[in-house]
Amino acid sequence: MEDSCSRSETQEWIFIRQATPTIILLRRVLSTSIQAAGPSQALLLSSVTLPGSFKGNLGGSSCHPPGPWFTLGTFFNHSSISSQLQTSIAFKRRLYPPDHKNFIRLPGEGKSHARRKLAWKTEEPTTRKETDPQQRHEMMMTQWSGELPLTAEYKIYGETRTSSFFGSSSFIKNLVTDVSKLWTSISKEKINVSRPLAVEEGDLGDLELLLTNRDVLFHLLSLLRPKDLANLCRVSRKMNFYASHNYVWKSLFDREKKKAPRELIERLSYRELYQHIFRWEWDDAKKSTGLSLVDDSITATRPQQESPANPCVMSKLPFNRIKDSYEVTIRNKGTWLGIGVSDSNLRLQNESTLGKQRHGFNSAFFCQDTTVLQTKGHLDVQVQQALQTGDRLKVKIDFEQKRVLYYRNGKLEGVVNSKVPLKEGELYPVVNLSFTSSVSFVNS
Amino acid sequence: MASESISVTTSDDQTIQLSRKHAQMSQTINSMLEDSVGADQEAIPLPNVSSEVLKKVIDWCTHHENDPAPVEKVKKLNKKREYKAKNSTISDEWDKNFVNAELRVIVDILLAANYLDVKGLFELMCKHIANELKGKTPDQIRERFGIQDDLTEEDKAAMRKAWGATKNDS
Repeated sequence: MEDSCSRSETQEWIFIRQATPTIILLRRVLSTSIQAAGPSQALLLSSVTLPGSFKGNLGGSSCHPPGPWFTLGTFFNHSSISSQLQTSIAFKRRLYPPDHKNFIRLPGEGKSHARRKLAWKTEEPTTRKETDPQQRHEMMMTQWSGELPLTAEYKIYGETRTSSFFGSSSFIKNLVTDVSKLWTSISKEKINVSRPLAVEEGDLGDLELLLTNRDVLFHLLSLLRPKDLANLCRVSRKMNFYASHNYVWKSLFDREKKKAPRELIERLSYRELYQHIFRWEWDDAKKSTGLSLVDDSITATRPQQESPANPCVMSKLPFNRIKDSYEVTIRNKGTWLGIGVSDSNLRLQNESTLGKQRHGFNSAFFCQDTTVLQTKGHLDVQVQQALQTGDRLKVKIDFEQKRVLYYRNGKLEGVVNSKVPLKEGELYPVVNLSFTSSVSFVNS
Repeated sequence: MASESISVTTSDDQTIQLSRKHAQMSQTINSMLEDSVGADQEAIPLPNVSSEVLKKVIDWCTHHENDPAPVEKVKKLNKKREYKAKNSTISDEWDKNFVNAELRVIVDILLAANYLDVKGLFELMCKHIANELKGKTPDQIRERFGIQDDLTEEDKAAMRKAWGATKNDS
């Protein structure tokens, strides 16, 4: 990353181009912006907010007056994106911003910055008055020819839109591509989370009478755990309607939200939001080539025998104190099977099976001829009863006590103690599959 | 001086006497009494409660008449403990016997407790029914509550997608 603090405008612009946001930054910016502004303004907000990384990367260098990059606290419609970028460029090029009155100092910015801004105000007005907007625009067009303007096409919720931007073509192109990808992934996530059956028919059996006062029914359902609500959804269409109701899940979410990440995505119901935050799924990017993910990445299978040795797949998200356990159903045991946890040092295909690798921390409930709990090659517990297809295995991390607990069908089978601290965000659910083995997360 | 007993008329046109102390455990009756201070002591109509159910409610009130008010209880609990309390099982043996009744009766008492605004009884009934639902498979719930399975294969596939596999799916 360029870290020069040169005042050369070209270098500055190059720097900004190199500071083109990663998908991670965009995700963070967008998740905040969607919550605050709504999807149509998210694109603009990111482009306005993007230079925030510029400041961050420079570590608050005094060489660059942050200026408008940090001061656009208002949300604009995407139609005004070109003028905002144009403004930013003008600022960088020491052309006084046309609507400088809108630029205010944000709390937390240094006094030196304030002084610098004041200096700008005293130095530039004459220049500004003398500069004809048309002339300035032409000057910009000339100086940045080859890069201005750019027509970019992007999609929001499947609707294609076209906008003209001023700025570096690669910068804008990358931005739009990233945003477009992000929106696609968000939309996909939304589609993948199925809606409750919007049918209020059938009967509730002995509970039918509760429908005379639905508040009572909702209150009653709000006392249940997600797992029980999931089971209720599977009872009948009408029960599904009530057990999936937003009110019930809001109660549940409110109860848990203190522990939940502060990530809210607009348009998700509370049930979907709960699932979004608390559900497990396997990660396509962290799996051995021999494995396949189905059922929206909930089920991992090994369909081919001729795949790399001992293929593993890890979950998308790591354990934390909220999600400190996961549960899987063995859909097909195959000839052998390993289910456990590991850190990111695990080799997804290795001569050693899960729980026997020497790389980082990895532990597994491993079943072949015998069923054992093994950690980094050490046999911890020999389990009497072999794993069977249909078994439910639960793996829980006890961060305080530095141990991993293994349950089979609700019964504790063994505990693995770790010598090293088990940290939040560093351990992942992992499975190690033989030919035809298949394992599914139980997300309820 | 206010009389020590109150008359109420139930939905099946029966007039039942209950003590003022028990009557005041119901916020609904309590409000009615406050509204009718100085008026002739007529029977208070309770059109949503049958005499059978009201007797059950009175039984519960009699047993719990010396309990601290629910509001005081809540004040003592911080949020975490309150959450735990909400999910805990029924500890009082008398309450356990009390809820050992037909589900339809339980639902009737629950609705009556809601109408009469008897918080303790309402929470007890909700907790009991919630406990009946907890940890049961869909089949067990259907059997226990007499609900028919009208889910299509498509519905079930959609739920598998939303919630993941169950033991029954494997």
